Amino acid sequence: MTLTVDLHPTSLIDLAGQDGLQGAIALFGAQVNRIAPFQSTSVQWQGVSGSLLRLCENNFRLRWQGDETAMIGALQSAAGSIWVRSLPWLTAIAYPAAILDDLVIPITPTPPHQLTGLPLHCAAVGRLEGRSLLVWHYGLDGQPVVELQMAAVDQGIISRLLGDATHG
Amino acid sequence: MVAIVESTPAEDLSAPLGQIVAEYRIAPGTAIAYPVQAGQYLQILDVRGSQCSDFLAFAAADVSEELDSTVTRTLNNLAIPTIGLHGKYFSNRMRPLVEVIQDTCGRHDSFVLACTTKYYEDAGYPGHPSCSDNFNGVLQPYGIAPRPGWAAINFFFNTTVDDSGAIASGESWSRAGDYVLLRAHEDLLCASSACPDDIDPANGWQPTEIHVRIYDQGESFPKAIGRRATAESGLRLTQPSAFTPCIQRLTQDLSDYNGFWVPNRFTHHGLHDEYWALRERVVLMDLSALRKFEIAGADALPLLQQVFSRNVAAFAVGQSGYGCLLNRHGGMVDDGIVFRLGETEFRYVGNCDSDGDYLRRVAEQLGLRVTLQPVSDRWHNLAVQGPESRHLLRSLTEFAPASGLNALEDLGYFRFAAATIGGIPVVISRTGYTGELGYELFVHPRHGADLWQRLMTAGQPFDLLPMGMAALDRARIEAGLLAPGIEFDELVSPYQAGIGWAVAMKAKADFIGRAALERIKPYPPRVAVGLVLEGNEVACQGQCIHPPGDRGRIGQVTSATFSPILNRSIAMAQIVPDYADLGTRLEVGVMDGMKRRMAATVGPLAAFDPQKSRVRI
Repeated sequence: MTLTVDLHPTSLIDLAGQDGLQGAIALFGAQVNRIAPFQSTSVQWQGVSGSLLRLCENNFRLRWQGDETAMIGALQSAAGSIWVRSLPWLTAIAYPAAILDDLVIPITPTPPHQLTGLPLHCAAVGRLEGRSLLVWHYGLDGQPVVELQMAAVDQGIISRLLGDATHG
Repeated sequence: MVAIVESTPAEDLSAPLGQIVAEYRIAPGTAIAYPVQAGQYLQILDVRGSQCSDFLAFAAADVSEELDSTVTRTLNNLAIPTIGLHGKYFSNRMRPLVEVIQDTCGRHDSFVLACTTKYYEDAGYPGHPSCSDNFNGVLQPYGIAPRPGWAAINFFFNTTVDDSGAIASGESWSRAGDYVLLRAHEDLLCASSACPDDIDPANGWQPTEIHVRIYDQGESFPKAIGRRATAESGLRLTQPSAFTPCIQRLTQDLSDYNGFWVPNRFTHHGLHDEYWALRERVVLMDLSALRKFEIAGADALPLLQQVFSRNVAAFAVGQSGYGCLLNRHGGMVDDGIVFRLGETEFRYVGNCDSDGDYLRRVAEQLGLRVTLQPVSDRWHNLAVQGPESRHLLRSLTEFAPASGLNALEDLGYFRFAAATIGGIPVVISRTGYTGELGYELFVHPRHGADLWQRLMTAGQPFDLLPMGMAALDRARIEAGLLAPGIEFDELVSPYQAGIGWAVAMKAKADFIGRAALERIKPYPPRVAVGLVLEGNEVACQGQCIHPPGDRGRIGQVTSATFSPILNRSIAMAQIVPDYADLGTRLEVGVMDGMKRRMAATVGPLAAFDPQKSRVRI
């Protein structure tokens, strides 16, 4: 069985909207304005760490290691026109980045994304036997991980498929 | 399933693109069904021009899966797929059935049904044959139930949807021999028509033949869009530059720009990453899509003095200048840079193949003795831009002795010289399109890949990134630099576009368009300004500009973006002069201009570094 990385008690928080970028800058600083869609950066707020993934000009996803409710409240009050929420239909599985190359073999990237050699702090979208995945390579607690985000309903089948794939 | 259709070699068409495995001639006003295997190529040719050909495709394994125009539009976010990243036609199960590989027409329809009996009946032609009925007939042997109207992809059918939502159609744009080339993603049953519509202009009032060629799976055809630069010129397919093979190793996100494949953004980097590399370090860009012309002879200078807005007589050899080609009513034919190579030799670098025709025509009209040669195929060019560009190039550059230059620092703004970069012969020019210190390197295509690699390697200590068009567009809007077809065309004067400074009104007594520009200059119909918007929403090209609280329009946005370095939403706009004073408060109309407005303040055309201090360092 492939060893997964325990994501508990971290949480995934999405923010989006016309002022999404400004909300992220207000909390995490101007570095947020330097990453492109499908790139991420390590962030800190009140001494707690997280990783922030940019999805488009104003939409971001945060892997947050602190209190989820406090972060949602802080982001909501950081800028005017944004929504902040933890998406109930989205889930994730994380693996040590050491197995990244093997892990992505059965995943078909959606052009123009590429999964081969996915650098740290980069993400890409693809499909595993027709099921959509977002593959994100970032640092968690100082360790590089590869996180696969997927629809919650697909978690079981994707786990099985990846288990098969990573063990030949 | 096998279509029962006679194969007919074509003698009235250009040579096949490759090994043909089957070909079909569709008689005017009829349709055929035919199989295509996975990997095979399917070429649909308009034999005589102006003829529409509606197209259906079904998965051979299960004909309930069929090409779906609505799915195709939705997944591509395009009215019709275009060659490249968004070139696939999808099925009702969202799987790609075919992909467009080449297209020499560029105007097709995916919105309306193949013509129907009802269309003709309503127009007073009961019993008129229709594509839909013809499809019903040829698909019946395959067990496919008839439909009153088929939602086909209508190749060569010229339709548009206007702002009111009305769908208009007109004569097909296609000329004799125009074609689309598709590649099948799986085994298919296809159907194609030669549309029978003779009661409106769709087929030029005269239905003619369509020809279909099927090519072997082993063929490999380059992806390309065919364009004609002028009414008389031949087709030109999208071409790679000398640098494209290197670029394709770094991104799949390329699109046709001005007849060349150019990258939009690079894998694992992207717009913002590339943008910041430009503003803070150094980037490498392929700008080979620019068009180059050499103008020489005793009258080369008089010709340029007539057609180019700047006073070229004042350029020293080794000096260049930005300006525009003018027409008689003061409109901008194109913008570009004239390089003075010698006393009677010049190079013009602009955007359009048709610039050469224009220069030639003016020379003939004025009886000027010049030789004019398009040299775009001899000079491909890279831009090295960013504050570290000089540091990067310093150690690589060796100037030709005749240039009289010893070090890169000696090369002034808008100066150029022959040199070598890492031993590769180039013309190095201190010019750019980014608002940053930068250089452009013109190189023979045979050295292009080598030059790219050397610069990428030498750029590693500077954290150089290749930059795509997405980041370039953001940078040029910040710098207030014009884009052809967006900020200007032949109906827009340089005073409206914001480059009135590039018109040598005082230095040149006579030039093309001068009389018109003398009238326009005191009060142009509109003038170019920069806008800084309140809030973070980004404006769109074409959005109307209003005085605060006023329903009336005073201009429109030409380009807009979110400036990362200013952390503001900015725009370039053209507005009536009365409202163009710096600091004037205006509103940008969102949607219909009434539901919502965005407040904006008039500023300089270049929101970032309006004094151009960075390029002059």
